[in-house]
Amino acid sequence: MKYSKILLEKIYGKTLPSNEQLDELITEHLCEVESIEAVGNDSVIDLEITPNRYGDLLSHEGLLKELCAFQKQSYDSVYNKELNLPEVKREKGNAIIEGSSRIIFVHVSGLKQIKTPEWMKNILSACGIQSKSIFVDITNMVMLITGQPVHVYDGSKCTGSFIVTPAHDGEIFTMMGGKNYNLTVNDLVIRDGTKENPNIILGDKSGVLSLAGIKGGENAIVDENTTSAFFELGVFDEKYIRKTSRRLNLATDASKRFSVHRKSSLLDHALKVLLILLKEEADVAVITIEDTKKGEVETSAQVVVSQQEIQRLLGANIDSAEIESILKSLGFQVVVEGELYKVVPPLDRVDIVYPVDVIEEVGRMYGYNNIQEELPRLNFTPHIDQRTLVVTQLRQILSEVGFNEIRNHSLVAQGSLEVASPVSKEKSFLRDTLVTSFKNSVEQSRLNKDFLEASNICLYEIGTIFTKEATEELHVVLFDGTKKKPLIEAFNEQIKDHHLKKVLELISDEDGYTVYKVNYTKADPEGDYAFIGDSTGDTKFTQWGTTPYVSRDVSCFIPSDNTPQEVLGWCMNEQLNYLIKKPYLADTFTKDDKTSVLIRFVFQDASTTLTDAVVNEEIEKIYTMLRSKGCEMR
Amino acid sequence: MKSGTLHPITLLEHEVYKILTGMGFEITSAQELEDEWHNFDALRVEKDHPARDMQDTFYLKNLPGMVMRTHTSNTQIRRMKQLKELGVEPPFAFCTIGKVYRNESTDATHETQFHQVEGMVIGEGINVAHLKGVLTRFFQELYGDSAKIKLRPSFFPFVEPGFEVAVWTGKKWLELLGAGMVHPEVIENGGFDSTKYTGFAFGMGLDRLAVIKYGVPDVRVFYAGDERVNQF
Repeated sequence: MKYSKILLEKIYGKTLPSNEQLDELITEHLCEVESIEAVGNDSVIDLEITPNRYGDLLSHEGLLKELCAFQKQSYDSVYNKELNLPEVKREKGNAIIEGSSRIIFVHVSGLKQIKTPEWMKNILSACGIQSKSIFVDITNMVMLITGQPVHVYDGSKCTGSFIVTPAHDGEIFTMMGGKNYNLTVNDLVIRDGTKENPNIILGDKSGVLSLAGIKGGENAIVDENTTSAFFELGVFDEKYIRKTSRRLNLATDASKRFSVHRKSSLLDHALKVLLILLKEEADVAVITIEDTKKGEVETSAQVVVSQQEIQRLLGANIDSAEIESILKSLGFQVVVEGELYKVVPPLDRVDIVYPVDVIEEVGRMYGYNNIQEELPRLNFTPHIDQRTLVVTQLRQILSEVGFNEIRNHSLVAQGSLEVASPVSKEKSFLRDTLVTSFKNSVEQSRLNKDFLEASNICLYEIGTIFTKEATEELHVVLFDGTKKKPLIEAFNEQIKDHHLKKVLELISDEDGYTVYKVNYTKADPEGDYAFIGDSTGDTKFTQWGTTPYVSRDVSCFIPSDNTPQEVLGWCMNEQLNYLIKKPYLADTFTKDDKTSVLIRFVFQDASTTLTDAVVNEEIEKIYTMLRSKGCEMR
Repeated sequence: MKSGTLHPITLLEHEVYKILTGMGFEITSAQELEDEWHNFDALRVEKDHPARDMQDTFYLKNLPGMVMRTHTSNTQIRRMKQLKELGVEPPFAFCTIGKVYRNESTDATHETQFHQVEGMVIGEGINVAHLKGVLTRFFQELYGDSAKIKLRPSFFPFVEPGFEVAVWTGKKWLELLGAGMVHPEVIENGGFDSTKYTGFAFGMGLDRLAVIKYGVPDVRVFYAGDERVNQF
């Protein structure tokens, strides 16, 4: 969410720390800071709010409470003070049939044509909201300040007799902007009660004014001619909101805030902010309020946690006074009874349910980075599971005999199990064989032989496949591209007396592709294994282009005082353009005291296909160099 | 005979396993085609809750209730239940490296499948200090003695408190993993007494570690079945 620093300071009535300090405090104690950027006179603080904190932190007042606690200062909001309110008449509330614990309608009439003040426009813009009209802008300001979504209806387009009710199956709702949605009884709507008629399902006649807690409808939209309006402040059952929002793929500022439980008592404060803004910014004098408030006092459930539990989970000796002070700074009511803290969180802290939630509050305010690291001392015997053991042993043997490993994607174009809503047609099934993709890999390697420095293609892949019975099997596929299959022979020799012999079940052996099912549960769980390979080097990845390679072999007899490696070294030191990899020795032989080398150069230009002329020019540099060193070109 | 080459993900996998087993972690594995209970519910990721939206999920046609696992955290529940059945009581520490799936559009930094490293430690008195100790040691083995970590508050439904962990690799700070103290309900769902035992868990993307280590510009090369990625 984007927060305006000017709005935060306006609410607080004091200056906040520098942007750098804010960044540091928020990162240390709260959440990820996406950015803090200057926009005009303002600074926009963009924070990644996690879903557990949607109840309180999707509001400027919520963030401000945190900022005050971080600095050990007491929180206050200008909207908590007794301000000059318009004259209010209270009436009995509208009907709620289902899905809401309280709804308030604020009726204002005799409205003047007032433009949104610049300061408000700037704040809305900083927070990513477009200014529309003074009344809509005020609803958005209430939401930004308090977190409470507010909706406004044109009083001349509805009767003011509202009901909150599930929609009728098949009812059509026309959203602001004109898009139609088909509703079901699982969607909650606000309807003009006088038009309630289940037989009428056309949007404009059925009286559906809005999709409760998600978005307003086209029916009673306010515009520049609006002289009377109804402002709606409600709390709606989050289960309805989540389901409807997901089903209609309609995520809005309101639906996000109603996706967690909101307590109905929070409406009192939001109402006050709305009344202040109506009076101060829209010059509204008289207001009628209809409220379904039932009168009971809401509280959050008490959570009990001990100092020992806090210290035990955090691994830090935080003293009792500090724990109490931290919790109080966050607005928690705290009663200390011996070792126990009986804690009642504020109404909007719906994330505080378990003792661990309270421990988290203490931990993040104390500062996780102030907790000293310690290695646990545990007495247990580690072991490796059979699957990992077998995979590790297979890799070890296959690598030793000379096979190269490849990995393909598990999502493919054909298989037995189909994915719902795939990202592409090519990735719409789970693979039920390794062979299809593996064959492509072999072909690919053949084309890239020079890049790979390979005379023959010898590959393997180990991976999971998914059967039509929705089970997983571990398979391995081998391909030995050498004529007499020495690698396959060496592999068979290696596993002859190995427990892998009983683990590997031959599935197919066609066209040079040998496929085994790996029954790893039959493996000897105590077998030896080694995690082969060395990843400690500093070599960086070379990305190849998509244009064709051009290979050139340079063959020469080398001077008797030099070794083939030295000659290769000279070639590596030569500055050549378009080389996609270091030159390598493709062959050497010695005859009659003369040693001949064959050095291969692979060229590629990422943007275009290289011509012979360009490559010849490069290779000529090598010829010249080698001749000057006494090589006899062949 | 010349040894064959290994895929860079394998090289990293082996390095991570060497470090974790050296620290006493056992290795375990769990399935990729998983039921919603093990992938979500047992880890407190409620249906329709915004937390479930944090991970775009692959569901399967004609297989209601099944998903391609969105994280290796299903292993937490699977392994705890196995250990319980075997009569093993904490302390225990296990890790896994496995393939996970996210239904999101792909680009140079996102792929629909990737590998995660998961670790879990359960015992009496396991705390945040231990989590920090283990992760610091892990990254010092991976990046050298100058490596250090810092924690930022975050949220994953299966841990509380939850953290994003940034790692000083010797050159810069990188946000590399999520971690936290295992939620008591998750310990109970694994079959153990949460009033007696606490624990921590962590999870990180192995592909990301490989991208950073080798400077791979596009993660999609890892699963294209292309032998040319074996450059190390």
